[in-house]
Amino acid sequence: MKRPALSWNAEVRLALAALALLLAGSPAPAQELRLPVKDGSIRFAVIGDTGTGSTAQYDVAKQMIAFHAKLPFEFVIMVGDDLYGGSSADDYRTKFEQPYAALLSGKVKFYASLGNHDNPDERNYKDWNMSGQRFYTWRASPGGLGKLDNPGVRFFALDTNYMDKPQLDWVESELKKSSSEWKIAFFHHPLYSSGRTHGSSLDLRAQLEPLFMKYGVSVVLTGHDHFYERIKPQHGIYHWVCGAGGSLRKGDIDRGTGLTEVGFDTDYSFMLVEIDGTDLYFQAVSRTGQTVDAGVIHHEPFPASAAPSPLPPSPGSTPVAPAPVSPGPPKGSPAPVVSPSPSVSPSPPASPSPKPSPAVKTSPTRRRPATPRRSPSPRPSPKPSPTPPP
Amino acid sequence: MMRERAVLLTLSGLLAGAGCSATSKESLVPPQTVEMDAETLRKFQHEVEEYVELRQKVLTKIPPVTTKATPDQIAAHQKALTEAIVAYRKGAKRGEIFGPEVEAAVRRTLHRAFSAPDGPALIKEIKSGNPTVEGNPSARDPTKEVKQPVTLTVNTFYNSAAPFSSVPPSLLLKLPLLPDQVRYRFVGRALILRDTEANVILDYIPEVVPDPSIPR
Repeated sequence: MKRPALSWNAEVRLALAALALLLAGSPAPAQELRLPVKDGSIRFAVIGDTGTGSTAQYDVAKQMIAFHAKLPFEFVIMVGDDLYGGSSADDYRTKFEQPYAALLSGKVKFYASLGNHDNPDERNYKDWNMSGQRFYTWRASPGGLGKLDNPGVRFFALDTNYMDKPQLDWVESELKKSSSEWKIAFFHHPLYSSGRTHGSSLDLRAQLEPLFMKYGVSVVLTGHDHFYERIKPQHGIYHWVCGAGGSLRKGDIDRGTGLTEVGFDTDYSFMLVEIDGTDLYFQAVSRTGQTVDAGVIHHEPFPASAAPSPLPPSPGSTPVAPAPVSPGPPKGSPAPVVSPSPSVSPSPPASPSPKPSPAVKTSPTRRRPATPRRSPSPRPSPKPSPTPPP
Repeated sequence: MMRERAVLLTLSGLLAGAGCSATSKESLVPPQTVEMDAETLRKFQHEVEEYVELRQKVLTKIPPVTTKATPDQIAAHQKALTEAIVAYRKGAKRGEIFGPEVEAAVRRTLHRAFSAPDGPALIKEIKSGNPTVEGNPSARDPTKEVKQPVTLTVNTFYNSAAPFSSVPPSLLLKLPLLPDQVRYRFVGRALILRDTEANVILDYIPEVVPDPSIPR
């Protein structure tokens, strides 16, 4: 008997709706992990501009949870705009606690910086580990506090909503004190961005970049522009914009800035990072679990600088763009604070610097096992040692 | 009548006692330089100190918030703080903190900054997050934005759903340094003084940003 077309369509719709519900209720299947998962490495995720409470934010969170099963990262860096549209108790619940519930219950710690949509009193929220400070620093090292001989990785969370003199003094003082091999700064407003909506924060760059260059910051993680962008190295510093964890401005990357190494502005995303000694591996993942960027940067023992090399794509994965060395600020980029060196080595700031010139060298492509191995006996997890501002 | 005299006042020494470290010769951080005569600056600092004292008094009368607070505790504290400040400052008027001399000095400073070669870049950053320019991503479709209006009136609530404008660091280095409890912000073309944690506009100076493309 021939079914009426309307009835058949209705059945198909029902079946599709049921399938969609099933998929929505379970974490999205994670795609391939492109990080090596080395013993004793420091692993974390980076998200930004998340706090919309939208389906997209929840989708990204599901991918983070799925990837956490493959790369058990210890903490998550939040680069601001953690809650949009207010900070009522309900906002915290629906825009943070619920989407990341599985990570929170798995003891994954979140370290927040605040964006221009965040109320400053969010610094008191227990699960953002800011200890009531709008700018703070902590160190993550393999083996935790017991391994004091290991300089580890030091993170600097800044409040770029209000970069006043006390904070600038604090940044300089803390960067100067730190002997960590990796100094990673994270905050909301990007010093470099190809965003048509916002773009590079030039005034902020003029204040912070000389400090980062003089005191050896290697990596800067930001948001504000709602997409993923890995910037060509600027004066030996690697800048990321990770602002699509819950918000998106489709097509907002201006490809004409010359700043973009890899950009992704067609869907939501987050980033995974693994640091093993002098290597920092990264993988940016879309809402659907596709890898949109991956690679490794190598950091010579301080003060020598980092040089990137691409991870070879694994079979079945999305090909990602290579990460070539950029000798300096690209043509067409806004005027740098200091003059670039004519050679492949970015120059130090024009200001007095006691450190030798950091050299970017084109390292040979680093090899890694074709299939990342899970660590059979993980070492103690990295334990952060917080240092609140004075 | 005392002749007003604009002096370049380096505040680093003055502020050392307030927890601000002095700028050393080795530092890359520029000094805090405020173009305001000493008496005007003192008046402004006095008004701000009075507000901070009032705020301290309010804090003793409401439930405290710790640095390991729950969302309910934070929200309750902010609500209580905001309401109490508005009640204590009932009848407050524009110009009580930004007095006439202070306002004139601030206008001169901002005019000079916006007229400089990097003025357009400063204005671009001020637009970022400015609630008359930028909205919030919609929860239904975060690729779309919804603006949240802020009413520019002294001692009223700053819409808690609205974003905050950027205040470029180079401007902060030229304006009088504020204690942690108070912030400069921009709403439209106006410079406002807002309590850092309570959603209250304490005072404002209208029409300081010379860009007609920014809605009032």
